Amino acid sequence: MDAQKTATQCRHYAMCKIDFLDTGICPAGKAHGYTGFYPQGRMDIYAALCQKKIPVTRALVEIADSCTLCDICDRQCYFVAGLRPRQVAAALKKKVKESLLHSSPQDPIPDPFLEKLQKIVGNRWATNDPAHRICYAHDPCPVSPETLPDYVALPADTRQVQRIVRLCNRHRVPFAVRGNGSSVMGFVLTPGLVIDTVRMRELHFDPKNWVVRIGAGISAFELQKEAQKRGFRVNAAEPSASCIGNIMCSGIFSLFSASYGTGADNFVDLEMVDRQGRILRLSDPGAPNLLAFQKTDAPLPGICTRAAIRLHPVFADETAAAVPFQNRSAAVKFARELAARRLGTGLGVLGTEYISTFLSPSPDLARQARSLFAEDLGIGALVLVLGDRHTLQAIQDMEVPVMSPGLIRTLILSLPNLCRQDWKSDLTGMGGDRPPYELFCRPEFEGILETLLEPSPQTLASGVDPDLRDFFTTLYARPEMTDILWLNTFRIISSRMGREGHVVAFILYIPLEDPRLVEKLDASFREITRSHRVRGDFGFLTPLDGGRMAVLEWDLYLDHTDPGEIKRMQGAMAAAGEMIEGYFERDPRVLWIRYLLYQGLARKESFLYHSAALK
Amino acid sequence: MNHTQPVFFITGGSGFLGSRIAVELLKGGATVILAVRGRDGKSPRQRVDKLMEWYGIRPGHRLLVMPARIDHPGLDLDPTDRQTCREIRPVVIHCAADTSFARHHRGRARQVNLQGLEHVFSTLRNTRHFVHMSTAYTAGIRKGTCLEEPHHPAGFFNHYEESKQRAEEWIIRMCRRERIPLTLLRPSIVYGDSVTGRSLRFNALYYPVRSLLKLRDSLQRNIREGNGRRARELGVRTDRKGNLVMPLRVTDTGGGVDLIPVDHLARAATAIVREGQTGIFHIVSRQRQSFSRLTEFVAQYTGIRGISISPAADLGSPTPLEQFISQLMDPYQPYFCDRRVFDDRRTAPVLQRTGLTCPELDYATFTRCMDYGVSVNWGAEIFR
Repeated sequence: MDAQKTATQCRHYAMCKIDFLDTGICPAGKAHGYTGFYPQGRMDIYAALCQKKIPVTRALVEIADSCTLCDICDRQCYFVAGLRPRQVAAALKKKVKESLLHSSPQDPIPDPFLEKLQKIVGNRWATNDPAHRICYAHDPCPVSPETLPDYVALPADTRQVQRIVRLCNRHRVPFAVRGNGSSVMGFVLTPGLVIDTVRMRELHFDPKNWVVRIGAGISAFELQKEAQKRGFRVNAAEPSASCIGNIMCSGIFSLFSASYGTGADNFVDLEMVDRQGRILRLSDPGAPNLLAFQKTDAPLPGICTRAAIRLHPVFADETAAAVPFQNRSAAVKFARELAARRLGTGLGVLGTEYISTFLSPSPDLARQARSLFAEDLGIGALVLVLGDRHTLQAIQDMEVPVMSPGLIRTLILSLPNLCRQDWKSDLTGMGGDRPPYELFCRPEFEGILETLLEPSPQTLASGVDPDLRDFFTTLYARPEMTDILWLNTFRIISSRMGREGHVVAFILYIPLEDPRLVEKLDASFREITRSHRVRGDFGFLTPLDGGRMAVLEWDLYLDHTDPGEIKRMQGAMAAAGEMIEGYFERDPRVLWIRYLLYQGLARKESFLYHSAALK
Repeated sequence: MNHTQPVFFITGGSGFLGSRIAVELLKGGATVILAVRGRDGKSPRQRVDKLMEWYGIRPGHRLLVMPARIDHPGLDLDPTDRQTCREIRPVVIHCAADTSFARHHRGRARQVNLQGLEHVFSTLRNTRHFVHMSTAYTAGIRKGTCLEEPHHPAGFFNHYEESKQRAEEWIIRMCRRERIPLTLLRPSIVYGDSVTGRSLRFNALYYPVRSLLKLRDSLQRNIREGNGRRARELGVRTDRKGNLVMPLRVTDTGGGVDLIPVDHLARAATAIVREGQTGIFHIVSRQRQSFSRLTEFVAQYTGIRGISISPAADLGSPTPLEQFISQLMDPYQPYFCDRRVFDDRRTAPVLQRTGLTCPELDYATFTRCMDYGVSVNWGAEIFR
């Protein structure tokens, strides 16, 4: 893939802004803060420059020069997206150098509003330079047109946010807030000012109260890492996303929501600047009731600047196991039973799309693994259980085939071997009345399988680009890289779901008493993918509130650079919306997360049981 | 195209049996249409060209390729191809099948073996003769002699048998209704070419060998390059000559396995079709192999020491390795110790007239076939 193509493929997941592989992060990004200095920004800038959307400015020259071509971005981005941004950075440097041979870089354009902004945050932290603005102008969502903001500001604290909001109100400048500069759903685009909260880095643990106070610039990964050091875990979403951003958007859910809950379960208090520029705390007696839920398109209640987040204890004997099933209905039923019995700190039903994508270190291998898991091993769905040894023992007592942590490690580290044609046909041959995965799950065969499959970091690394094999060998020698509990806690592999195309996630809260509902929804989504000629698959389901309800994700995938596909996806999204509304009309407990947008502070009871509220 | 001579339309034209029958017909001067789908980025024509190169023949103008999907109604035939078929009324030889025994593939088997047949039949219903490649194992669960007659078994060993039996019932009914001559071919288990050892498919007879070779090689690597801990845990070691000693007791419960080489199947099928024979024909071996003899072949070929035949009662508690092998072999067990005997009194005279006899599977042939399997990594590297 050439540099220009690579540049347009960035999914804006902002994984290059967190040190999720212990490689360190982009030194230029770390030093300068603006998204433009990170690989994600450089990709946007290079693509815009090639399309002549932006001129070569002083900031752009600084961005191009700041890159040391150190390779960190290639390692990080290949791990999650299969992309190699280093060549883009090199191409950007070259292009800028060529441009400077003919003309000088454009100087900043004086702007009274910008000067006022700079007075609030400091000259360095507000800009109207097109090179910076373009990094906040678009995202891969197929229904959000590119919207170039006039300004970008990076405030440091609540007071600065308050002054910015008041300034915007006075000058009637619209604003949008971004946490960590990531954006995938088109919610944070504005023609006015983008407020990037990345500099708001408060992180203070209060272990006595099992609470951590964080600023809006703290990412889920950073928070989780610090929490783990202290023997705790937080319920966090995508690792690069701002934890506060997730809460404010539509609430946090994860596999751990099976026991930690969702919505207001995740925090103790929040501080925000409302649209009038007042500073509020949720715990204030006079604060607006943001814990309630209304099925409506709610406006953003304000800019959350700080939050007190719940901490959960971690036990030394925690581990993970996977229970495979031939069909999803059986898996959903089993997950519900576990939730009802309060078994498992984290629970999730995963489809083979997720399993293969998450575990594979390269897109090619993921494609092969998809048929390996579904066709050759006979796995229709898998229940992932995260819990302590008592939970795992209880599951083993339920006499279902269980993939132990050892077997999971074997499967991950031998995936390139298993995906070889000879192995795949061996597995096909194994199939009799019982699916081959049952053979794999028998504890007495674990040693034989390990002998046969020869799992090792080297084997795993054989599935990636040759020049990255040494890096992957070293990386996968680390135990956590094959530890499903760790991987689910930090969620560093879930971003791989966007590797083969941008993900348009449809997330629904549903009742779980009848697994047939999941199948009906799945069939409805599949019909939409068929009729609109787009790709999609079941993502995951996590039981909530003792298995009464669940959160379900069904994903559509698209190449966000293909106009034809964008058009088809727009049709598919509209059809999916209508379809979900149809389910809601028949059963109001089927609730699209769209209605939780900006209501992520709501108590889960408010939205899961909104139809049971007292009249 | 000379419409007076029959033209053969073969489904599963890139498969193990379909392609071999096509080659046999082409060698005999017939015109053949291969219905093939594109796959792995290769067009149907490209796939067939590769295949013919592998067979070492230059088919020339007597081989036509028609892109077709038997899982689609109308086979997704190009309108021109459809018109051609309508005009020439080819003899249909339906070989496309899903041969997996795995229960989780039953949906796919139904789609290919039943719906696929329906699609082929409804698309080519003006055929002058329909030849359906079935299997001797539509006989289902039973003992004793199975005649060349429709089977109505009480049960099946797997869904493959069942889907093929349902397909037989369906095509018999349809051909009767439409007054189309029908030939049902029922081969037993097919392995590679008895002379060259070449094959396109490596299941059934090949399966125990490839599994044991894989295990042998892994254990040898574990002993040679690792610390040998895994091997020791499984009771496996190397003897003074460097042979792997893997204590493995297996049980011969009687009966035997009916195996035929693909060259015999193709010649027999072609002879039956060329004679215009209709009805049901068992293409089977008259010399069944015992499980014990096959086990000796396997032990000799793999060079694994310690494999022994034991009465079931002597097995006591099987070792993990024995359990593992037993699990691997479980789907094939009904075929390796088979008490069904396939009568071939309708087939025999045709073969006699053409001077055909089924070659015996001796150790030399066995070795040739396995050597070929190893050389192409059990199919993974045939067309590389």
